[in-house]
Amino acid sequence: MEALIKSEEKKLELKDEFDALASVWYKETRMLSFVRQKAIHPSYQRIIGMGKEALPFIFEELTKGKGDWMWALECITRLPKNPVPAGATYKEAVRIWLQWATEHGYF
Amino acid sequence: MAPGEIENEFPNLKSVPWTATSLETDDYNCIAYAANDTTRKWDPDASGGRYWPEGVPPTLELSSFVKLFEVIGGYSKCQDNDPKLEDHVEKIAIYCNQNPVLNIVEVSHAARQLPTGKWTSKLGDWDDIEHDTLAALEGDFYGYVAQIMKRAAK
Repeated sequence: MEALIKSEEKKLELKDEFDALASVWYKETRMLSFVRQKAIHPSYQRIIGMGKEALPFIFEELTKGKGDWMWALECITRLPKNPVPAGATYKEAVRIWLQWATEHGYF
Repeated sequence: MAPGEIENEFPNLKSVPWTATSLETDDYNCIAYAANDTTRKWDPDASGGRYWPEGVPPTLELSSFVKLFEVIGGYSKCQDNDPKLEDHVEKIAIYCNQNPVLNIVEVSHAARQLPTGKWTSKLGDWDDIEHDTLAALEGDFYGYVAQIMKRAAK
């Protein structure tokens, strides 16, 4: 029971950390157009540094149809093949990643 | 975005008329919008839902974007970089800025001239806006206008 409580507390801490980083990142990069310029922002890099623990929160953001999160997803999941085919639109990329998340138990 | 929030990030807008012409969206970006495409993001890092035409160098250097607009739009460089409205001519403007992390000059933005002489821009993932001058968007985020290109009006 104690372990379960600690695990939940850890999740809440991670969620708070993610939300704080994402909030700064949105505020300081939403007016930029290129993913590389957005992705080098320190907050985005710290989210990538959270590793797989950040994935549920990133997928939650994607359900809002907001944010260039595909770069982070590619970095964190390190899939041998990008699930999003070349030429896909933003909306298609979101749909494909959310499908991937469903198939891998994130929803 | 609230107008005040946009003006906070682009303070030059406070001194010229401007208006938002769309809601914010992640569906396309400024380069796509300058190329009249509101279905996808045009980005040299063309993976994960972004697009970049084949045959154009995939870099954020000004020369790559000049090539882009030559290839996809039939634009050519304005030798005098004159932003004035000309009869039967369409213009776009490419902005460059110093990347604060990499310490190199990169393309930051593009705007398209309207038949009225005003300019229209998509501000990253924020709204599309109309602005009277190119200088209205110069500053910390988009830097300065580095190149104006033109073509015969279609």
